[in-house]
Formats: sequence, structure tokens, C-alpha cells
Amino acid sequence: MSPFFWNKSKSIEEMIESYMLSVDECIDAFREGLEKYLEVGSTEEFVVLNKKAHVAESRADDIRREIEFKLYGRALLPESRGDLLGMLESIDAIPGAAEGSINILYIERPVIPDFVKKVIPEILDVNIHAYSLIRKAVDAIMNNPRETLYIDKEIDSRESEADKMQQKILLDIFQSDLELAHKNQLKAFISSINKVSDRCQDSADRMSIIAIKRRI
Amino acid sequence: MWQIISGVFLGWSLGANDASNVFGTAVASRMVKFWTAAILCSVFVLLGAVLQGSGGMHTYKNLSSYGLNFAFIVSLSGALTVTVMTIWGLPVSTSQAVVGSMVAMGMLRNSIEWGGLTKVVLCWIGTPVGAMLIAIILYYVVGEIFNRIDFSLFMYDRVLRWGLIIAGSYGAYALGANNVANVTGPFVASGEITPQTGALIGGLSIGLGVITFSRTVMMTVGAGLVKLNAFSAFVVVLAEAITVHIYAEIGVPVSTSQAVVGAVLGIGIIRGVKTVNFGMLARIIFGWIGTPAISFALTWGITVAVMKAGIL
Repeated sequence: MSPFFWNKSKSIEEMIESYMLSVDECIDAFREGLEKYLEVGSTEEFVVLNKKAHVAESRADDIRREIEFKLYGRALLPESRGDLLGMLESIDAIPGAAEGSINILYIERPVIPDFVKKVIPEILDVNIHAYSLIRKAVDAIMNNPRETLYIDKEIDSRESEADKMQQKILLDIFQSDLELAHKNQLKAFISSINKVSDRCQDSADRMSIIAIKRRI
Repeated sequence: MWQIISGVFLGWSLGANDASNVFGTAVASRMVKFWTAAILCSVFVLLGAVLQGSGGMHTYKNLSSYGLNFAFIVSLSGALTVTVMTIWGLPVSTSQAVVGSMVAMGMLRNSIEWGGLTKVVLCWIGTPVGAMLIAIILYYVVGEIFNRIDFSLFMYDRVLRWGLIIAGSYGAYALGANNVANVTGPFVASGEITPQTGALIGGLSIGLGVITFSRTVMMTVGAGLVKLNAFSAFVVVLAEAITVHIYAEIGVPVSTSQAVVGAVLGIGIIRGVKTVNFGMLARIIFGWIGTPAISFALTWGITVAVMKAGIL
């Protein structure tokens, strides 16, 4: 009986790791894609990175579904099953947000003015940092869940920081001489980048609840 | 020896009903396959019955003594009471049904031992109370260990799953050790079979009940217990097993269902949630009085009727 139980949850742990690797790939492509677009615009290389983000996001989705099926096949306690499904769904929104953001560039090809170009890498960094903390939070859930509570606080700080930066650049955009449509287009793009840290915050909250629930 | 068939019938219904108290949570939440649970439960019930089941047999022997035909009536009345109470949806205590039946037979035959009866009745009241206290202590002690270790999500899951399987197996052992006297105790009391033979036949018939008919009850009772979180369910099963095992050591058959309710109440006290309502408590009290009263009346009626008819 032991190998049966052990193997089932062992393979889920492995599947979660491969799921996270796909999410990593999507986030990397998102970061590289945005940097490339800011540098040289919508080139062949950018299109490849956009495609890469999309493929990695789809693969993550497939792995998540596979994990769900496995979980329903009695691999874990019902409460752990629910918590894990909730955690994966919340994480899944992160590559979804990243893919959505890079896709705005691919479809709309907005012209990014220089004063916006200077700030976007900073906003991007904060969002990428928030995701790297999610990566740590997932490791913590797998090893020492109490750690998740501290990571959640850090992610909260990153998310607030990203919000402040967004607020500032939007003020600058709307005070500029750009066309209203252009302003709105830039607003939508910048908001889409910050959705990554928003979703990271949601996911971290979810993981904190999982850790708190296991305190007796 | 055909009369022992009523004991086997009682053992079968006991196995079908009470397996849910030890493995219901694990099976209903699909952590353990039914067949794995049923086999583990049967094996441990049999082990408990054979290794430690004779204590309860001696208690019953001290309660009253009579011949094989009367033992048949005692077991039959017990089995019928359990069946009727099950149909009414009331918590069934085989121990209380059998003791009610034995007291009726003892009184009819002027062979009742009142001192032994007092001990048994006190133990009935002590079952839910004891299980409640044990559950409270276990919750704090085991909970503190869990908190200090800070298990990962998967390790927490594994530890609890194995905990439920081990506690369930221990519960099955305690069930066999404690409750086998209900099944063949009246026949041992008649002097026709030895306690060891009684334990073996009783253990096998309980095991048969577990294997053939416990799935539905496991799903129903287990689903009710699953409303507790896995840690609390583990504490409930372990507290029940310890309580029932203690009574097996004392040699008094008690109700596993009432031990479970007591343990759940203990969890409710700690967590401040409503796990047991007053209706449930009323049912337990009715179980203490109603179950032995019905089996008492049945045994009395059947015995008087067959004696008047000149069958016995």
C-alpha cells in the first residue's frame, strides 16, 4: 500500500514542478518579449517570444488539468485536494496575465514614447520580482509552509510598489500631449503588466490560507 | 449447536454497522479503497477478538448463565433490536441490546448478578465521556506536535492518511476485542463453548459483516465525519479506538458509535463549532435506555411465549 500512496503524491509533486517550469518559461518569454519590444519594436524575434509565452502558458494549462484529473483520482485528502486545486488555479492566472500583456504588444503594436519607455523596465522588474517570490512560496508550501506567510507580506509590498509606479506613469501619460486613444492604449498596456503582480498577490494569499489552515 | 446461528447473525450485523466507525472517514473521503479498508478491518477485528476478546466473555458469564436454547433467544432478541433500531435510524449499540436481553433472561431464570450489571451500565455512561476527554487531550498533544514539525502540504497529507489507516486498524482491533462478547458471549455464558472458540467464531462473523455489507454504512457515517477536517477525524478515530480498547481491557463491551459521538463532541468543545446537536444527545440517552429496554422486552416476551408453548 505504501508505494501506491507514496507514488501518487510523489508524481503530483513532480507534476507541480514541471507545471512551475512551464510558468517560469512563460514569464521569462514575457520579460524578454517586453524588453525586446521596447528596444527594437515588433521584430521577428519579438514574435517568436510572444509565441513562446503563448505555448508555455498552454502547456502549463495542460499540466494543471492533468494534475486536476490525478487529484480527483483519490491521490490526496479531500481538503488537501481542494487547497491544491485552488492554489494551482490562482497561480494559473499569472502566466495568463503575462501572456495577455505581451499579446497586447503583438496585436496593437503601440508606439511607446520615451518617457514611458524609461519607466516600463522598472515596472516590469517589480512584477518579475513578485513572480519570483511566488516561486519561493510554492517551494515553501512543499517544504515549510509557515515560510509562506512571510513571503506573502513581501509580495504584498511588491504589488503596492507596482501600483504606485503605475499611478505615477499614468498621471504623466494623461498630462502629456498624446492623443486620447494613444493614452488609453498605453494605460491598458501598463495595467496589463501590473496584472502579473496582482495575480501574484492573489495566489500568495491563497497559499497563506493553506499554511494557516494547517495550524492546529 | 445450530443455535449459534443467531450469534453469527448478530456478529454479521455488528460488523456491517460498526466498521464505519473505524474506517468510514478514510473510505468515504476516498483516501482508502473500500476493499483495502474492509480487509484491514476484518483482519484486525479477528486479531482483537482472538487475542483480547475473552475479557468481555467473562463479564457476560458473570452477568448470568443459562442453556444453549436460552442463549439463542438472547442473541436473537439482540439482533432483532439492532435491526429495529437501524430501521428507525437510531444509533445502535449491540452491547446495550445484548445486555438488555441477558438481564431479561437472568431475571426470568433468577440468575442475575446485579453487581456485574452496575459495572456494565457505568461503563456505558463512561464511554462517550471518556472518548470526549481522550479526544480533547489528543487534539492538544498531537496538534502541538504537528505545529512544531511544520509539515509540508504533501507530508501533512501522508502523515494524516497513514494516521487514519493506523488509527482505523487499531480501532478495528479494539472493536473486535471489545465487541466480540456481544456476538458469542451469551453462548460462552451457556457453557457450551469456550471463550476462545467464542472469540474465533465471533471475530469471523464480524469480519464477514464488514466484508459483505459495510460499504453503504461506511459511506453514510464516514461522510458525516468527513465534515470534520482530516486532523479532527484522525483524533476522533484514535480517541474512539483508545476508549474502546480501555473497556476491552476492563472487559466490558461498549458502543463504538457512542465513543465516536463523544469524541466528536470533544472536538466541538475545542473548536467551538456545533458538531453535535441536542437531538444527537437525546438519541444517545435514548440509546442507553431504549435499546436495552426493547431487547429486554423482546427476550422476556419470546422466552415466556416459548415456555408457555412448551417448546423449552
